[in-house]
Amino acid sequence: MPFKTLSQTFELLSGSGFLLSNEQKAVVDFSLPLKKTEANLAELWLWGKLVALDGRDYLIAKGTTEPPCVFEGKLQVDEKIYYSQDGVNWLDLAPIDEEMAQRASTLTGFLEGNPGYIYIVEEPAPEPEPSDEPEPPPKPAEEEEEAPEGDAEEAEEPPPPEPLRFEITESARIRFMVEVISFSTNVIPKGFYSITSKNELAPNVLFSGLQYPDKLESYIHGGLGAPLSEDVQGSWTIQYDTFRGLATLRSLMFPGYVFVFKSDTNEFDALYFGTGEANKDMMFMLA
Amino acid sequence: MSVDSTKEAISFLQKTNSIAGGTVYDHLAAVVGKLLEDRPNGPVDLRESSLLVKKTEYVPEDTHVVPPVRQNPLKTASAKEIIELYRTPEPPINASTGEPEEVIPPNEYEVENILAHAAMFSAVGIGFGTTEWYHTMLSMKRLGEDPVKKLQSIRFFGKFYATSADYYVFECIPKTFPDPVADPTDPTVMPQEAPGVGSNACQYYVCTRLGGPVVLLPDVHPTHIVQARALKRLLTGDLKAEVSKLPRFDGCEENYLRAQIARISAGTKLCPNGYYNPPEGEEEGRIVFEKAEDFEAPDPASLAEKENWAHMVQHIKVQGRCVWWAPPEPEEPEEDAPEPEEPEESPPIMSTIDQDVPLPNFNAKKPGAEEEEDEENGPGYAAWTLVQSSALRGEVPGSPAGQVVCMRSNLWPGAITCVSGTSFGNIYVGFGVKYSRFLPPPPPPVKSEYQPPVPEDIDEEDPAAKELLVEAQELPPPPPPPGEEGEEGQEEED
Repeated sequence: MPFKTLSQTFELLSGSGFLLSNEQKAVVDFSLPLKKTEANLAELWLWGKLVALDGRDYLIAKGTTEPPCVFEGKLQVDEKIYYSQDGVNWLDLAPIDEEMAQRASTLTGFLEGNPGYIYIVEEPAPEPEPSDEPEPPPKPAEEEEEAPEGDAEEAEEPPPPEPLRFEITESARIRFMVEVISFSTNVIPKGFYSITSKNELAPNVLFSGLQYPDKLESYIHGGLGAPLSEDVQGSWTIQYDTFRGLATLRSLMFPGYVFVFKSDTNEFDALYFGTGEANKDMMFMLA
Repeated sequence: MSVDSTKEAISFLQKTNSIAGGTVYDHLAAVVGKLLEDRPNGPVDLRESSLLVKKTEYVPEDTHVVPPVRQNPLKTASAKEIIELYRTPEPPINASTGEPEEVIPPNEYEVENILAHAAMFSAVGIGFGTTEWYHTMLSMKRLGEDPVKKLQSIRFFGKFYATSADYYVFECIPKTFPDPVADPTDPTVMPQEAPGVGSNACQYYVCTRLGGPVVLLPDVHPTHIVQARALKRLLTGDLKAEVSKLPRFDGCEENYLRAQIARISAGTKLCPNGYYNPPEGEEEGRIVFEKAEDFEAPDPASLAEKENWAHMVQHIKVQGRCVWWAPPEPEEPEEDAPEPEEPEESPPIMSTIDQDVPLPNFNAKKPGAEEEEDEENGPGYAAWTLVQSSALRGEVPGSPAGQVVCMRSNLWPGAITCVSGTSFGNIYVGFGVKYSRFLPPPPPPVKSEYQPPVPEDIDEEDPAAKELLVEAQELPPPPPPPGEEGEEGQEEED
């Protein structure tokens, strides 16, 4: 489970440069538990911070009403995602459907800082259905440009249909980013959670530590996921401080995600602090 | 029952049950033993006894409970290094006299007020925990007091994340710069800038662990900067590691790290405009900074304007140097020699950041942006973002002279400059990569095949000359006609 207090999280994750400003740290310590009570959530934790262009960064928190349960071998999680730009008010991020997620995945660049900002995604229009009349003979595009005088038949061809424009709000894009990053990260020490008799995922009472905390095989994605060693090789860096018993994992696919695990108290936490974009050049950057 | 059927019955009872791990025979024996031991009142309740036997049986198997890994007492080296930072080193004992040697007095140096700057950075949410800042400060103290290195001033440049260890970088100016590297034998090769000049204005010391050994990075060569611009690589944590073969990088990780430091410093080291008097020495590359006497603490509202921030480091030109270098003109200019290049004009030092080139925005057109496409810069992201320590309106009482205002770089994510009252600080915390897509270089042009040299004055009509031509083109001799091949063919087959 996340560390008992936020300040402990920051103290251990600060080696990776992640901090909230003093003001935000002070207010989030109170506003998060308050939101948890108001929204009737079982758990609410700080997930991270998405950087915005105008300086009003988005703090993201995740919450669940009931513990995740295992159904037919898969994990069912009902997560609510909240965002806040000042640390005081936490607002809902509405879930998005697959189509919108697909379009949001084509967007690149910084977040603007305004949740209502609208991005335009253009998609080529679907091809027109074939009509009953015989179509004019298709001419390659080059010939059309070189011989504009052309035949009378070319003039009869309809202009290419305009691409379809879809609007994606920034809050939808944020939701998409949080889901994508969580899917690829969400690191947990192996054996930390176990399935109870009610098919719920609960902290394993018998967990007594990792045998090899300095190896990627000891960490898995989510409750039932695959170990990190099965991810793209080299996409995780792991540093283990044997004296303090502190393992630090950093993701190179989503730079800014940091996970720490403390061997002596068997506690862990993770935070994301970045632009929210995947590192598309990762394969060029690795040795 | 006959003996055979008894034996058969016993062997059946002794079949191992794969789930429970025991046999029916053993279980029956255990139940009978328990009954005789406990002598319960209703011994016919076999089921209960049987259950009790099963539950209380302990079979030591491989459990999932693993003893936690305790601190390996041998690996305390890193912790000891940290503790050493707090101690003053004892003078070594001279072997011959048996008395401690004379202590060389520690060096006198100037250092940035790192803990005050740490408070400033943490007010906007960048930096490390208090423990790490304190150890950084102690590392700088030890670096400054070192009488051998003789440093004049030290500044904490920042922290680079690498795959196996992180780099802590200290920017230093020594009291005396070393002599410049001897002139290369070939004057047409671009030399690196002399120590103390241009991109080599400062020296950089690096350590991978606070308290660990500190290494001086070599001076940067213009080739390193030009090649680093074409690369996008992560640091590994080993200074001698190879960086890249394609695109080519002539050097190892210490050269690459030094080149990135030079680029980040030139692109993101800022100061409030007016903090320094207009610096002199720009043409030679030796900048002398003088703090302006009448500099007043800028109003936080005015710091929101980008005109009030200025670059402190000279711009690095495309050729990789801050000061333009052109090869010396040959005494007898050749007819086909290209004209000498015009020196590239760079923005002067102390140019304000509102003139920084915006970053390209690859998203689809924003609504209404079609009219803006004709402008010079086009839609793009500002290169700098303003961050303030407090979202509250009005002055925040008690904080150092009001709000801490910070400019965060979007081009080099992780580079920030903070201003609070009359003091300011720069720091870089990041992976050392620019916010730009990597363009793999196109493959080099295909080389043409080997053309043997053809003698120039050859008369093609002359049959002897024709033979020469044929030989020169290395054609194989024509194969003999099939009829004559007879014996030769058989010999060849052997």
